[in-house]
Amino acid sequence: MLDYRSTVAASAILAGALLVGCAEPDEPTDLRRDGPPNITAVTVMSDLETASDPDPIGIGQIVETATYCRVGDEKRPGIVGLPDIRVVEVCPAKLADPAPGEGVAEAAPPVWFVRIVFDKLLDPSIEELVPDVDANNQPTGKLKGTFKNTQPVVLTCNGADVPYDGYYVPNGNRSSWPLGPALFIQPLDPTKVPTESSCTVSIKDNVHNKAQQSVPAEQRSFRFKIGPMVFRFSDPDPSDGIDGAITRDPKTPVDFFWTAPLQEGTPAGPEPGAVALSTIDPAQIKIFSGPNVGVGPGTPDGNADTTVCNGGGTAVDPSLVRAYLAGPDVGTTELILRLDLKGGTPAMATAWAPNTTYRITFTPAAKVKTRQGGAEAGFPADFKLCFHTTE
Amino acid sequence: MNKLFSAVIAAALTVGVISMVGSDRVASADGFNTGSLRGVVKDKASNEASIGATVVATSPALQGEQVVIADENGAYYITSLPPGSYTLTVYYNDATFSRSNVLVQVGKEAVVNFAIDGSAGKGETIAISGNAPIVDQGSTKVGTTITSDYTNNVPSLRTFGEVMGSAAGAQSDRYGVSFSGSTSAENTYVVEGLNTTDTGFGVLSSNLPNEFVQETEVITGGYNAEFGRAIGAIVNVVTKSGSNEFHGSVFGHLQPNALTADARTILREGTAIDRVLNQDYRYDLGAELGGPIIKDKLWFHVGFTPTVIKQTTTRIISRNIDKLDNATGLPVAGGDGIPDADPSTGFTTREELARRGIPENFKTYYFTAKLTGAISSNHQWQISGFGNPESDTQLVATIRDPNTAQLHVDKGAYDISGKWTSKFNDGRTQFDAVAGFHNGYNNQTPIDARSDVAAIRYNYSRSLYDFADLEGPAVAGCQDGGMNDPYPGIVNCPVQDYTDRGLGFLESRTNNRISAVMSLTQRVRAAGQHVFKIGMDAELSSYNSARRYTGGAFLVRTENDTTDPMNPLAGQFTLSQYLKYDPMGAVPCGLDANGDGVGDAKCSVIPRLDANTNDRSIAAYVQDQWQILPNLTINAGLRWEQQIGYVAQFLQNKVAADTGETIPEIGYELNNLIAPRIGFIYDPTQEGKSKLFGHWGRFYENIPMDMNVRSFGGETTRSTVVGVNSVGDPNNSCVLDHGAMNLTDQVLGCAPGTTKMLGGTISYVAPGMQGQYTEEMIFGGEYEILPDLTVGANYIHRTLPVVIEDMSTDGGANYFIGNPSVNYDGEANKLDQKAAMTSNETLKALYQSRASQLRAVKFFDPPTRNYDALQLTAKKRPTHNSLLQASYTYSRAKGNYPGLFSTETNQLDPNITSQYDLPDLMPNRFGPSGLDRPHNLKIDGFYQWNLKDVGVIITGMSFRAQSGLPHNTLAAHPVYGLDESYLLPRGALYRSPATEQLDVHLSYGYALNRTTRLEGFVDIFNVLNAQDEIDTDERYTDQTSLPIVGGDAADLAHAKLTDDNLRQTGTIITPNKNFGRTSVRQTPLTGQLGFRLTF
Repeated sequence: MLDYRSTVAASAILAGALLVGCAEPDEPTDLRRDGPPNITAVTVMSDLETASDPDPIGIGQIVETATYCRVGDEKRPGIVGLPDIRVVEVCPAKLADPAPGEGVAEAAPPVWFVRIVFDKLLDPSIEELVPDVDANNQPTGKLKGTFKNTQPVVLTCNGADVPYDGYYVPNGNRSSWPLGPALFIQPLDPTKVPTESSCTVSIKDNVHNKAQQSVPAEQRSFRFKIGPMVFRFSDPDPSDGIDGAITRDPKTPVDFFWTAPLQEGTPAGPEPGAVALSTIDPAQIKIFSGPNVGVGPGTPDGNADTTVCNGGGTAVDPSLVRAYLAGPDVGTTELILRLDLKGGTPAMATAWAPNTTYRITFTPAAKVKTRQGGAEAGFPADFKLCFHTTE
Repeated sequence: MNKLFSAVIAAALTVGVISMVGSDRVASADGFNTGSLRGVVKDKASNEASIGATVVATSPALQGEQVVIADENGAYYITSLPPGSYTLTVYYNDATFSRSNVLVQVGKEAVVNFAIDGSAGKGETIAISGNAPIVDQGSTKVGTTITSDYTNNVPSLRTFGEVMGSAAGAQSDRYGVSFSGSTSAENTYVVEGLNTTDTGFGVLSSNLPNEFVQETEVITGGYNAEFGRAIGAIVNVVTKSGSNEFHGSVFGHLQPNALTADARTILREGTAIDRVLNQDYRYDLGAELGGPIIKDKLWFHVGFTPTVIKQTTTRIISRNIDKLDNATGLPVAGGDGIPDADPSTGFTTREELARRGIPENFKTYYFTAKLTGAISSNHQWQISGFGNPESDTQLVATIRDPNTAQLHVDKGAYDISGKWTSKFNDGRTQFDAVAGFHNGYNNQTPIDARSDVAAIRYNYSRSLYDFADLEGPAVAGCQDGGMNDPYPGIVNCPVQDYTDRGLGFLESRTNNRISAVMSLTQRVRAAGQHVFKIGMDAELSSYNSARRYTGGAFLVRTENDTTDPMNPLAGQFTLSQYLKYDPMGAVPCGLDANGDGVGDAKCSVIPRLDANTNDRSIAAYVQDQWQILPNLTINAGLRWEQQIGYVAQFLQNKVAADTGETIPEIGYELNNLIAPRIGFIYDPTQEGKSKLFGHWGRFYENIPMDMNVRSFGGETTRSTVVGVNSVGDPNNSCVLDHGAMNLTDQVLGCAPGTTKMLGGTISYVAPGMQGQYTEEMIFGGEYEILPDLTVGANYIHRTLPVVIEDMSTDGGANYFIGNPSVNYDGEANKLDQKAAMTSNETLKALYQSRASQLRAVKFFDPPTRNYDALQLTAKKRPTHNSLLQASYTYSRAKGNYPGLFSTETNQLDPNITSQYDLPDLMPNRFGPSGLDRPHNLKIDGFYQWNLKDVGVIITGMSFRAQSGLPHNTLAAHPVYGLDESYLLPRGALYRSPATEQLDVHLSYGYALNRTTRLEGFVDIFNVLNAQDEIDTDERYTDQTSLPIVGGDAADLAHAKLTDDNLRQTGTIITPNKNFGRTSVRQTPLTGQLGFRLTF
C-alpha cells in the first residue's frame, strides 16, 4: 500500500493539477482585473471624410488618432483591425513610446469627438439612458446613453468651456474597433470651437470603476488640438477627368468642400441673388473658357476644348465670378463654398454658359476664412478643374 | 521517411529482435479485438509456485484452445482472447482444476490466480467456485465496456453509436457524443480493428445495430502508445463471430406513434411559423446467424437489419392578435397597434390558422458478414465486411417554401477489414496485422427540378402573406389591410428570413481510407516482466467533394429602404457564386498584391466546385508493459506520428494565378509528432481485486480532411451586391422582389454592383506549424468491494496546449493556417530575408505580407481548454442475470476553444473554424465551454427474475441526470456577422436547468428448448415525459456590438450599437425577443416494442 509520504505526494500532485485546472488565465484581450481605472489611450476623431460626412460611402474612413498612450502599459491599444479589412496602429508597438502626437493630435473639424479608453469597465451609472429620438424628434422606441446630467469630464478649448454630450461605451478592448471601454465625448456645437484651438479634456471625480475606485490623479487631464480648416474636395472633382471630359449642367454651380464653416464676406448678406458671399477675393480665382468643339448633329453639346484645359482659352472677367456660401445648415451647407458666373449685372441666367469648356485654378492668395475662428485656408497649389457644360 | 521516424522504427525493431532471441516468455498483446488473462498458479498449502502447470483456456468465443505453461514463478499469460466467458483449466501433478465464468473483455487484462491443492488425487477434477476478479490490471485506460447483456436488457437505443454515451462523463453534442471535455469530432471510431472515422469531419461514419456487436469498448483516456489519432475518446467495436455451434437471433423493434407522446411546441417570437417534430414510427426487423463452416477452423457470422424511421415536422401558421390595450390589459376596439402579449409566457398571443405536416423518411440497411479462421491455434485470421447504407428524405427548413422543403440524401459507409494473428517461438512472440478499406459517402440531391434552382432568402421580417402564392389558402388570414384584416394595426403574420425556391448549398462527397496496422509483441524477463510492443500503421485517406449552390447561386435580399418617401430604394440582392481560376475568365480574383483594389488573377463562375484531395498518415510506436512486481506494473510508450495533407489534385504543380508561386503537392505537413505516455498500476490486494493507477500522456489530433478541401481545394466564392452602384450606394438598378416572373434569372441578369472575393487557390501555412495535441493526467483507483462489484474513483485533467486554426492578422484580407499565439518572429525574419533576395516585386510583396502576418500571431489569446473531472463509478460484472453500471462525474470544462466545432454557432470546420480568424473575435471567449456540465449521473442496470418453467422476466432501467449547459450572450461582429461577438464572457449569464431522464425495460422470455428462447419486451424511454430545456437561443441581438470584456448583466443594459456604417453610436442595442428562450427540449416519452428469438 502507499505509505504516508507517498500519499502526501500524490495529494500534492492532485491539488496542483486542480489548481492548474481552475486558474483563470489573463488573456491578452482581457481588461485589467485589479486596481483603479487607468486610462490607456485618448483618441480624437481625425478622419476628414467621416468628420465631414455623416453618412460616408463605404466603411473605411473611421480613423481616430491617439493624443495619449499610457507609457509602459501592455493593455494599451496597439495594432487594431478595422471592419474594412485594414489594420491601424493606435499606439506604438514599443510600450515605452508615447503617442506620436501626444498632446497635439488634431481632431478633425467639424464633427470631432474624443474617446477616453480605460483598462477596466466603469460603473455604468456614469451615463443615463434616455429614449432615443429620430431626426424629427420622434421616439424610436430605443434607448441611448447621455452625459447630459452626469458630465464626467471638463472639455475646454482655448480656455473656454465647450458644452458636450456623449455616452459610456462598455464594449470593446485594446484590439477591437472601436476601442473601449470608453467615454465618448462629443461637443454639442463643434463649429463654435475655433480651428487650431488647443483643447483639454479633464476627468472628474465621478468617473470610477465598479469598485468605486476613481481615476488616478496623474491621469486626469489630456490635451489635443482642433485641426485647421482645410480644403477637402470639389464637386465635380478634378480626378474625374482633367481633360475636360467632365460634363456639367450649365445651371449647376461648382462646389468646394471645407472642414469648417465659411465666414460670410463683407458686407455680409444678400448680394446679387439670395446668397451670402464668402471672404474670398474673386480676383484670385482664375477661370478660362472657350466654346466646346464638335458641336453638330448628333453631338449638340459638343466636346471639351482640350486647349482650354491645357492652358488656353479666354480669361473670364473676375466681376462675373461669384463665390458664396451654399447655405446656413450646420455641418453641411455651411461648409461648402459655391462658385458660378452670376456675379454680373444683370446676372447670367445660368451658372455657366452652355456648350462651353472651363478651366478653374486659384492663386496662392485665394483664401477662405472660418467663421468659428482660426487661420485662413487656401486651395491646393496644383488644383485645376476642367469641365465642359451641356447645352 | 525522415530521420526521426527511421530511428524510432530501428529502435523498435531492435528491441523486438533482441526480445525474440533472448526471451523465454509468452507474448501478451491486447489488440483492438481481444483481451488477455494472466495469473499465478501456486500450491495452496505451501504457497510455492506450481512450476510447469499447464493452463488451458477454452470458450465458445475461441477457436480451439489456448495452452500455456506456468513459469518458474508459477505465472502464466494468455493473450489474444476474443471477448467472452472462458473456462480456465489447470493441469498439475495429474490433477485438474477448473474455473469457469472468467470474463474476458476487449482491451482488458484480467488476473486469475489459482491456489491449487497439490495433494489432489490423480484424475480428480476440482472445480474452483466463484468468479474471477474483473479489475483490468493491464492498463490505465478509463472508460466503459458495453456488452450485449447491456444492450439487450438496459433500455437502449439501437446502435453502438447511440449507446456509447453510457461512459462516465459522456454527453451528447451537436455531432455525436463528447468525452472528457472534447467535441465529438475528436473521437476515433475503430470497428474490427479498422479506423472507420469519417475522413472529412472526424465524426461517426460506420454504425451497426447492437445485435451485430459483441462488445464496444469506449476508452475515454489513459491509453498507451498503440492508440493514437484521437484527442477525444477511442470507441473500439468488435462484431460478433461464429462459434462451433450455430447461434443467432431474429429480432424486431417497433416504436409506434401510439406510444410516443406529443412533443411540446417550441414557441418563437417574431415568426408566424412554428414547428413541432414528432416521430410517426421507427421499426426494424433483422436477423443474425453465426456458426461453423469447419469446426474450430472456420466460422462465419452474418446479419442484416433494415431500419425505417418516419417522422413528421408539423409546420404551424399562426396570426398575431391585437384585441387588448397592452398597457391596461383591457379590451380596446381596434386594438392598440401592438400585438397582445401573454403575460404568463411573455410571448405574443397568437391564433392558429393552419398546420401542415412535412414528412421525413430514413431507411438504413445495416449488414455484417464475418469469417473467422484458424490455421492452427497459433495462426488465426479474420475477414469482416459491414456497412450501413442509408437513403433519406429530409426536411431542409420550415421557414421557407413548403413545396420545396425536402432534400434527398444518400449516405452511409461500407467497410471491409482483414486481420491476421500469428504466434511464434512457442507463442512467445506475436505478430498482428489489420488491413482494410473504409468507404463513406454523403450525397445530397434535390427531390425535383423545382428545388434545383437558386435559393433566395429574404433577410428581414416581412409578412407571410407576401408568399401566398407558395403558402396557398393557409395564409389567407394573414393579409394586412383590406376588409378581411382583423387586426389592421399590426402585421398579422410576420416571418423572418423566409427562403424561397432552391435548396441552397449542397454537397456530394466520398470519404475513403485504406488502413494497415501491424504490431509485434514480445515478452522479456528483465528486472521483472516486460511486454514490449512495437507497431506501425499507415492510412491513405481521401475526401472527394463536389459542392454547389442549387441553380449555381445563393441570393439574399435585404429590406427595401423607404426612409426617403420621395425616393424609396428597392432592397439589394447579395449573390454568392463559386469561382474557379481561369486565365480566360472575366472575373478578377485572388490576392491583390499590386494594391489596385481587385484581385490579380482571373476567374470564371462555375456551377459546381470539385476538389479531390488526399491525406497520408503514418505512425509508429514502441511501448513496454513492465511488470516490476506481480502487483505493480509500469506502462510506458512513445508514439511517433506524421500527417501530410495534400492539395487538391487539379491544383498540384500549377502556377498560382494570384501569387505566381508554383502550387505544391503538399498543403501541410506535420512531422515528428512525438506522443509520450507513461503510467502505473498497483494492486494493493495482489489478487487482481484492486488497482491504484496513474497516467500521463500526450495525444495528437489527426486533422480531418475538411481542411484539405476548403483550404487547399481552390475554394473561391464571389459575393456580388446588385441594386447598388460600383461604390456601394443603394440604387434602384435591380427592382425585383418575390412574385416577379423568373425572379432568379432576372436577378442574375442585374448589373453587378460591388463584389467581394473570399478564398483563393490554397491557404498559406505557417512554417513550422505544430500538430494539435491534448495532454492528459489521470489518477485513480478501483476496488472490488464485493464479489463481482467494483467501485472506483478517477481524477482526470486534460489540457489542449497547441491548436491549429486559420487566422488573419490583417483584418481579414488574407488568411493562413498556424498555431494561434505562437511566436513566429523567427520565421517572419526568414521571410523578410527571402523578400530581400528576390527581384520579383510580386513575390517580394507577398513574402513581406506573410512576414507581417506571422509577426502578429503572438498577439492572439493562447488557446485554452481545460477539463478537470472527478469520476466515481460502480460496476457489477455483466452477466445474463444482472448488471449494474453507475457513475457520477463532477467536471469543469473551461477555455476559449471548444474544439473542432464551435459549440455556439455549430460550425463544423475542423481546424478552420471562425474561432481564431481575427484577434478581435477573441474577447470574452474564455469561460465554461459549451460542453460544461458539472454534474453528470448515470445509473444503468437490469435484473433477471427466473420464474423457472413459466419463463424469465427481466426488468431494466437507465437513469440520467445532468447539469444544464451554460449559455452565452451573442451579438453580431462587424465582419463576421451573427453570433460571433461575445457580449459577455462565455457562459457567464445563464445556465439551463438540470435535466433528468428515466428509461425502463420489461421483458418476458420463454425457453422453447434448451438453446432457444423467445422474448418479448417493451422499452419506455423518458417515462416521466420530461421535456425540459436542453438549449436556448443565445442571440442577444442581431445587431452589431462589440464584446463587453468581463462584463455582466448590468453592463449589458449599456451595450452600444455599431451602426450600419460600422461606426460607434450611443444607441443601446435592441435585444432579440427570443434571447434566453428554449430552443431545444428533451425528446418526449417514446415506447418501443420488441421481440427477440435467440437460438
